[in-house]
Amino acid sequence: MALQVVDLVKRYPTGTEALRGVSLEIEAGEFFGLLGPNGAGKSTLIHCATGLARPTSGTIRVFGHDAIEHYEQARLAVGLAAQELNLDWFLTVEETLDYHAGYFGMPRRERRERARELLDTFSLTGKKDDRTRTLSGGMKRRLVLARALMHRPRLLILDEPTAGVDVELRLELWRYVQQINGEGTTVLLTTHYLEEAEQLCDRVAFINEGRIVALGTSAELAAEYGVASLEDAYLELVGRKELSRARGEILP
Amino acid sequence: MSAAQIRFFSLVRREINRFLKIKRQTVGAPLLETFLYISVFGAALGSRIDELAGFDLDGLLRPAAREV
Repeated sequence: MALQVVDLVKRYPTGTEALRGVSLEIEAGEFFGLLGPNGAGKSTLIHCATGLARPTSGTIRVFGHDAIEHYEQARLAVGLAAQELNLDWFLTVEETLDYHAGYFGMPRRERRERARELLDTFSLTGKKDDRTRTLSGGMKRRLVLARALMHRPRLLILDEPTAGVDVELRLELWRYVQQINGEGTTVLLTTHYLEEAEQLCDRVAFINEGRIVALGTSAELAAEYGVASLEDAYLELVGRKELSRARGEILP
Repeated sequence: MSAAQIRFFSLVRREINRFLKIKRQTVGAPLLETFLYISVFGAALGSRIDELAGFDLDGLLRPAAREV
């Protein structure tokens, strides 16, 4: 089991209940999608799994390691590509990768080799000595992903990796993520692009107002709601089926 | 080196690197500030104070200014 979440509740001091008893199991090697409207609790769930937020109650385990009690072991297994481009603007591309792997305890030679390999994969070799703030948006996005992969995580968490990314790069990212999933890495993806989830994910969970409201393959979910696509199932779920493109009402 | 040492030294290297990359702010600015402080106070007060704890002010400040 790559990720096991049981009855997870997260209540912020302001009184906001971001998660209201989420239970979820992701098998090792799976490509799992977490979908839901803004503010549904997706990022909070990810933050709880990576130690960035402390759950109010419930348990969360990463490859059997408790994410709170045994934070270190749990964190070592996870690669996180956060939603925002949280790069250090003062470092170069290569330093960014090198230090990150260092924080995870990778020896120098291994760090160098891995950095070279990832720079090559993400077509950043020519930019390795440039400061990260001088990179274009797409390059920054690629670097965030490369950094998440530096320590060879067994679970890769992608928090809206394709938000604001051009078509070309999006397809490139998909291909690469599919490839590493094929090599055995478990992937947890959150996205607003339902087409993306439909194409990539083995299973999909809908999260809304801090609860998992539906879970299954995209075909199962569409069948459950008696609609043709994942997008329509999503709209049914959030109570906005009048927006459905299948009805053809809003298209000219 | 153990994994814990690698982590610790990665942080140390990163902090030093970051400090040195913005030398103008982290080294240059404090130097300039100290120099201005000493020269302005020296010029403004130097002529009015003859001696301080048995030493004359000029003799106290000049070596410090030279250090800067």
